[in-house]
Amino acid sequence: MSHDYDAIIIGGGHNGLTCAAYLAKAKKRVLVLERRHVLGGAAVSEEVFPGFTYSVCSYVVSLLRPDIIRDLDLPRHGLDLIPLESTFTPLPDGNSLYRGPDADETRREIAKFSTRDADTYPIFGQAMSQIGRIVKPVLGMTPPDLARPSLRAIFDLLRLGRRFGELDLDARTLQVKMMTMSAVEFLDEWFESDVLKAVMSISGIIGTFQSVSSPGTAYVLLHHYMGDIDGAYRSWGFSRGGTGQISLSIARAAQKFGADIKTDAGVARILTDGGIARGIVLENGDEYRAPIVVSGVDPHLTFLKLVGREQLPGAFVGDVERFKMRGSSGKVNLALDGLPDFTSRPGDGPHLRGDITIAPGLEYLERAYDDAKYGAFSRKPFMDVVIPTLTDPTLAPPGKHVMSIFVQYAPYKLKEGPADWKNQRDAFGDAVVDTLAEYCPNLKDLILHRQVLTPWDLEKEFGLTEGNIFHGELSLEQLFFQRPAAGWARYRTPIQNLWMCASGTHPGGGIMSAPGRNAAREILKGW
Amino acid sequence: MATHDVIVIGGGINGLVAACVLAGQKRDVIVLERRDVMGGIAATRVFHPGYSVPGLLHDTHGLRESVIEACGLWKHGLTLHPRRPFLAAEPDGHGMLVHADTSERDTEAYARFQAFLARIRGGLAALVDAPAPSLGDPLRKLVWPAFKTGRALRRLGRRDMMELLRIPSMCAADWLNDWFDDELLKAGLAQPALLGTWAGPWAAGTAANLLFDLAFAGREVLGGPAALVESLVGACRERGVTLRSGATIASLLVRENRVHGVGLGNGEELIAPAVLSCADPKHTLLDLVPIVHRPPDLVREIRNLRARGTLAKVHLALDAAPKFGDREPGSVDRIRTGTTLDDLERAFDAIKYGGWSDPPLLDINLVSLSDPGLAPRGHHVASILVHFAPANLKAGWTAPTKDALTRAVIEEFNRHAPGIADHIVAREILTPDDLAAEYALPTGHPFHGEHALDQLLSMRPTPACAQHNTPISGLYLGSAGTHPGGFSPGLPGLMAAARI
Ligand SMILES: Cc1cc2nc3c(=O)[nH]c(=O)nc-3n(C[C@H](O)[C@H](O)[C@H](O)COP(=O)(O)OP(=O)(O)OC[C@H]3O[C@@H](n4cnc5c(N)ncnc54)[C@H](O)[C@@H]3O)c2cc1C
Ligand SMILES: Cc1cc2nc3c(=O)[nH]c(=O)nc-3n(C[C@H](O)[C@H](O)[C@H](O)COP(=O)(O)OP(=O)(O)OC[C@H]3O[C@@H](n4cnc5c(N)ncnc54)[C@H](O)[C@@H]3O)c2cc1C
Repeated sequence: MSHDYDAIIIGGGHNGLTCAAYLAKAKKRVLVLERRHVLGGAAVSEEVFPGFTYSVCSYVVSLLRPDIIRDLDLPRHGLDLIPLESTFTPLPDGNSLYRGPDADETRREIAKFSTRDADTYPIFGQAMSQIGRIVKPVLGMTPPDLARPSLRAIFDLLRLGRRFGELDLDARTLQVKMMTMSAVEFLDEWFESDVLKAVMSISGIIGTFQSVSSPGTAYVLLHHYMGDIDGAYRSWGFSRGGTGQISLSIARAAQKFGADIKTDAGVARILTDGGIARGIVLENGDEYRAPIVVSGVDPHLTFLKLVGREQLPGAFVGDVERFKMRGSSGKVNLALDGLPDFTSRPGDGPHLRGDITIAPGLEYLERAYDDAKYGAFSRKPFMDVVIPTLTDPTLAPPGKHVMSIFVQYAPYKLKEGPADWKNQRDAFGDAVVDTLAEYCPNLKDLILHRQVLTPWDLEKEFGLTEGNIFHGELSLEQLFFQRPAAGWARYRTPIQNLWMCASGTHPGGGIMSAPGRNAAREILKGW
Repeated sequence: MATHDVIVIGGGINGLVAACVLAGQKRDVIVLERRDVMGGIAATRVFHPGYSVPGLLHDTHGLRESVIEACGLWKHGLTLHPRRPFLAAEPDGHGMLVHADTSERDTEAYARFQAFLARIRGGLAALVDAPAPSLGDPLRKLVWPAFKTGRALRRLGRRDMMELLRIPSMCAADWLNDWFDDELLKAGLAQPALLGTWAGPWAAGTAANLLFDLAFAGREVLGGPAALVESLVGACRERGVTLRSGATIASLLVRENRVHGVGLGNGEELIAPAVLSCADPKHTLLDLVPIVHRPPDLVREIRNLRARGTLAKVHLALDAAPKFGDREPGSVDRIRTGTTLDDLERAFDAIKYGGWSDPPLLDINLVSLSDPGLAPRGHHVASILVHFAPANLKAGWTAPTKDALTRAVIEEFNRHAPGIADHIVAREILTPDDLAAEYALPTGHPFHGEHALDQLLSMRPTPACAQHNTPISGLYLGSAGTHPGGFSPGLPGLMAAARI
């Protein structure tokens, strides 16, 4: 049978697009099908209110692989990353902590809380970047299959082992600790001041349903410390035009290599025949057939909805069902009439141009988690706030601003059931704005528009099961050779010719493009 | 000055096991114990005239055949009997009896679960019974043990092997939810995973504790921990070990980074080329090693060893047997409270903020039911583990706070066994502070270091000391604070002896 396409990719998120670009670059005829009217998935820019463009979901970028940027020549297709250089942590007592590009200033700021911590801070940074360097290459590799040990798996393991072998005892210890400890325990070994530990530990819980004191979160911390924008260690950046521009630049690269991309094309089912994928059926009934089908949506959606339980081995269905999704985050996007004024640092300044973190102490973060554990959103949530218009004025009319507020915890499973988010959405938005207004009292008067995204909305609108922002928790038993299931971490699936390429596979979520590229590499191997 | 081949510090279970094994190799061994009796935490404790508990701990089901054989304990009166069921209790209900092989609800899943545990026991043993690999070794030395462990794991078959790799980093709640529907059963099973942890059932890593507790659960020692101590003391005596109680070590004698003996509190010195400390590793390295001989790196690492006490004990003398629901008084002797996993999680929440859990989460052992000698005729003794009573209580451990916790414990006991509060003859509470003072546990931690993923195997108690040796030559460590931890009485001592 002849086909119009060599491969069909389900979902126009940045990973699906990356996979498409690499396949097209290898001269394959590729079709990308996206359910929404825009491309990008969770890396998307939309003009939600006239004149105001939001990075609706993801808002900062760090892990995007530099080699992918080069391979696909993304800057030529519109990618422009702007460094984000500081973290500002206002405190309820009028004090604050500001960490910026100037090492001396950062030192003085930390010394307000502890001189010992101020001394330790740069040493910690060096230690982390050392581990980051070891772990980083792992992001680009296909996990070994420990379930069916082959010579190749043993070889892969030895290669991994050799990197570990090159370290001295201290570095090895640090690495093991990083893989097993909680963010707080890990930081406790270095620092004493509560504020510093709180603000540093939050990278460990972004997108997880864990507290900063849950073991395993130290690793997620590392995940957030491995980024390199312009080669600088632990640097985060904005994307000009919002994070959607990242997706669009990848899409343009893919198109330049000849890929076809369709939006408003939701896939209803993956066609299989005798355990082999043959193509897909769209929601409107159209069928497309191709020898290769690649899923860029999460594992639950892929297997439980698009393939169907009955087509799959029972044990595998069980593995997918227990792959934890558990959304825990929400997002509030505001259009503002002017700049917020923080009590602890009045006026405009560099502190508004970076990350603004509401994480005033460890106990605060624990309480936020405790609310969520029992099925309620945090009354006093942790928040990560950015005002991208200060570095990228194109996003709003002159003099106006957009503010992006990432919020935790917002558990998908409310006590009253997930559907009750429809009734609690506004209360959630109010809790976020009220809490933030405690630190900048003029906030409420500035708000022109407000968009509130609960985990329920993330599921319904963006196809993220249970609203999990990473297509599955980044917990230890869901990483590497177990992501999304042991034996199926090499982008293949039990359905022949059906592949996975999104955040539910190694190395996981975040705007990184690594799953998409790794998958393309594996697909092309046998082709 | 008396000279020996090996000096063992601490006459707890691990110290006695190590001494017994070393003496079996014809070495001249002396055990020095600070308290007036041998046994450490496992020693019998008379808490009121006529009433005693057979050691602070409840469970001896982790005792391994290898320890019994190495010490020849069969000859010394050790008797094992099948593990008794526990009652997963409900305040106003019937509760559920959970036996080693069957449970009153979720029966079929429970049987499958136990079958799974039985299958993986061998693979797990391969991991735990071998000395912990050293993180500091060159890679080629790590490959062989890894290969051996890998081979043992592969024998489990693909599915079980992958399960075994998956479980340890999980939280106990997720793992139990994979298997069971019944909340009460899950809560009852989860409780031991929380013993001495700073974690609730939703914290990652707690599944490892549960796995170890369940997979190694064999038979129990008749007469409890105290009977184990008694037979160990008998075995030590027979092999010629000198057992000296009331002998507190004040300091180790170290010269040029080598240990050559110990100094007692009374100024006496004892000489030996090897000293095995089965006291808490923090105490050993931070108090007993003279300050000038403490390697700074090691000091940093050992300080970071987390050993936050979270366990209290309440001992009650009763003039009647408690009655749980509609069950016959005296028909159950192990009772666990907490009816849902969330109850357990809430109990943990309290310590994050410096309080104790309200209501307290209890593990009650009516020790006199199987051993009537522990109380006057017709009377009883309840030995109660109180989870989540933190060493660093915000209000501090004072007479009023101790009394308040005791009353809260009694009230919770009474909620499950109505009327029992009127039958209390005497009571005692041991907070983590008391445990610290009486049993020389620096922060009152039962296992000399929390069981957490980063504090097991090659990391226990620190990477440099995980093979039972230390950077100070001649000084060895062998308490529950070393590999493989407090899961299995005597196993660390046995491994430390092998190392010497
Ligand atoms: C609120 C939020 C904030 C975040 N913040 C950050 C951040 O600041 N930095 C960062 O690095 N990461 C962040 N992330 C995570 C990051 O955005 C995601 O991990 C990443 O974008 C996922 O990319 P993906 O391509 O794997 O999947 P997705 O982006 O989820 O792409 C899947 C695509 O498939 C489409 N689709 C779904 N069902 C169908 C169907 N049936 N047929 C066709 N198409 C379908 C979806 O519409 C979507 O476009 C955030 C995520 C969220 C939700
Ligand atoms: C309340 C409680 C309940 C427990 N419940 C259980 C349970 O149910 N199941 C289980 O498996 N485990 C349980 N444990 C843990 C168990 O008791 C330990 O894992 C095990 O008994 C430790 O044995 P050990 O020999 O290593 O240490 P220890 O019993 O602590 O022995 C150390 C000995 O060293 C002595 N010593 C210390 N310093 C000096 C010094 N300077 N000089 C001389 N002597 C010194 C001490 O007095 C002590 O006797 C419990 C512990 C506690 C506290």
